[in-house]
Amino acid sequence: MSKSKKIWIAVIIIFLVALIGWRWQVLRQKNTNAITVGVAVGETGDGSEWGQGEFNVYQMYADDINAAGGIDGHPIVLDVQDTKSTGEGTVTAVTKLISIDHVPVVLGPTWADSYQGANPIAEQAKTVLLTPSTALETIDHKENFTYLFSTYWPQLPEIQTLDGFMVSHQMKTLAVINDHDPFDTKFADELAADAATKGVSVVDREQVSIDTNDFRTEILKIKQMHPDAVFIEISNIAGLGPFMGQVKQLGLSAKIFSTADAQNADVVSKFGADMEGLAYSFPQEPTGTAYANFVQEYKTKYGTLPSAPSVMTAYNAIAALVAVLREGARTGTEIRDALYKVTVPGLGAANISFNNLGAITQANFDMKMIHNGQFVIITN
Amino acid sequence: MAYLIHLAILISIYAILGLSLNLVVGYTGLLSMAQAAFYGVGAYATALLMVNMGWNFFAAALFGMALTAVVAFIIGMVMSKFDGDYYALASLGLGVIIYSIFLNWQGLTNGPLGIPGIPRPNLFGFAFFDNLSFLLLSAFFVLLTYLASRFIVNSSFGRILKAVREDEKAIQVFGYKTLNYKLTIFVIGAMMAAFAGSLYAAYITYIDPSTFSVNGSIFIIAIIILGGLASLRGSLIGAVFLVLLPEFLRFVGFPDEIAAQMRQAVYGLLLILLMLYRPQGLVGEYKL
Repeated sequence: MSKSKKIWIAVIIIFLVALIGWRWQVLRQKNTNAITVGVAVGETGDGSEWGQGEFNVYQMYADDINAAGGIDGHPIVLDVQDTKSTGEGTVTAVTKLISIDHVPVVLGPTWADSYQGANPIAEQAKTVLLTPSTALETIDHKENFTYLFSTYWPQLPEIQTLDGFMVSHQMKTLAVINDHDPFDTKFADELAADAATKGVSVVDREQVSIDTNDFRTEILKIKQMHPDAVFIEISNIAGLGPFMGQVKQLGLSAKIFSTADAQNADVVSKFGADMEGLAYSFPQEPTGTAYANFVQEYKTKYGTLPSAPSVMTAYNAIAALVAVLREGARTGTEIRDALYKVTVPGLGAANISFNNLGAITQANFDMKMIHNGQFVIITN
Repeated sequence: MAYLIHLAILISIYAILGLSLNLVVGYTGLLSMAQAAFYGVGAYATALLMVNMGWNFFAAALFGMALTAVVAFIIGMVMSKFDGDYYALASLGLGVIIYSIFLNWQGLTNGPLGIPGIPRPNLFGFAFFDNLSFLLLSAFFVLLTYLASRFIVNSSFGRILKAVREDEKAIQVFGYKTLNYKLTIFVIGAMMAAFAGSLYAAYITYIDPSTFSVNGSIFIIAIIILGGLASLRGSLIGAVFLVLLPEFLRFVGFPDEIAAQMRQAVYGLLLILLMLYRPQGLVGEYKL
């Protein structure tokens, strides 16, 4: 048999396997009479740490619901598609979920602020996008996307907590480092602007690529400006470890600040003493043990502590969705209308509810610091 | 159905990119890694003109192609100093420069935040709002690009390009100014890629720099190597294969926890196998 024939036979086999797999998935959903929820996460690519964490939380929550009998006896089935952390991949994943799998709601996409192409598609199809890792501030004309919700923390409260702390500690000069991610860029821009209105001068701005672990050039440039404070916002959370180590190696004496992503037990355990002294904003925990229970359950199920920055917001997203599904919402429009009215207990906020732009309404932050490997509140 | 139409549109866009690069790499032997940069110039020019100045898609795309021609001419003149592997490296570097401009010239391109809200094409009052009509539009331009490419490769100009690929020194002995031929096909290829960028911008309705990085150039090269160098049919087949294969793998029932990673592994394995048993590509006539 010629090589060309072998290749074509291989292609046909792959096609048949895919066809069989697709029919099996369709039959599985039909037979179980399940409630199918679309999930669009960045399982591969730049956003994979976030996407994988989000998926783990959704799966854990869905398993708990199903173990308790589902929703009115209907189990939840997650239809998971990889966005590949690209614009095209996000559009493809959401299109597939909507047009082939006919889901009324999609948890995700990961980083829908970086990959906005899916938003008009979902709007036209009247399919809810409930995303845990999207800064709605970066969505142009958000009012046109009524089916888009985000449980990610609004930027302004967090920014004001950070620069308020700087002002209260008489810090007059600030250097800012961020990577090229849209959220990080927007956050850094807004922080710099807000800090300036409070009398904190921004003496240097540096940008790095998303996956970099080498900040030495930027640190040396900042060191020459002698800032009182340095703020760093990067998507690659593991990069905070090398950054802090390089800060210490190069003798930069400024106080280092970051955001809620910095509370990452994996990074702290890996980089140890280098992380000492890093201050960051973090959502205020409600009284009670909700977060500790969540962490314990995650660790029991997956053998590791939750490390992705959006694990809490992913939990809040699926919690809000399940609440409206319990109320009987099933179509995209019903789910959307119910989400605008729902209030559920959340992680990092006493209650999760959405305003008329689909953003969460509660977001209060503490300042915390990494001290002796622990996450210590320094203001509240 | 919407999903299949979406894939067909992506195939159309990548088919144009594949044709554009095959003229440069397959027929002329210039290993250019800058095609995604030209793709990006066309996309950004179209997006900015449509969003900020209300231009019609077709006028904006034409302007994008003209702008890309100028950029490609300048880059081509610079790269004419290089040969072989050095040409590839130089084009890689220039692609990185253009990507950096997309990322850092925030006043113009909005930097990492990208440009949202790009409208769909409109022709004499007919808006290509639904995907089916957009597919017909993009398929028309694939056909146009294919016919133009076929005209080029079958002409005497095309024969000179192949001669440059085979032995540039020999063809120079006969008095041909090979720089002119190489520059011309480089600019033509860039203009075609720019139009593909215009289609992409108007289809996805949002662009940001990450689409036009070196990874994008590598993907386009993979299309033409897999489909077949110096084969126009190969460019089309390569685009079909590389767009559809990962999508087929979505339907294979891997466990959710590892599905994405398994798909990547299987995808990579299939590409390796294809290159082992068919290094000239599925329908190619020439190996790199």
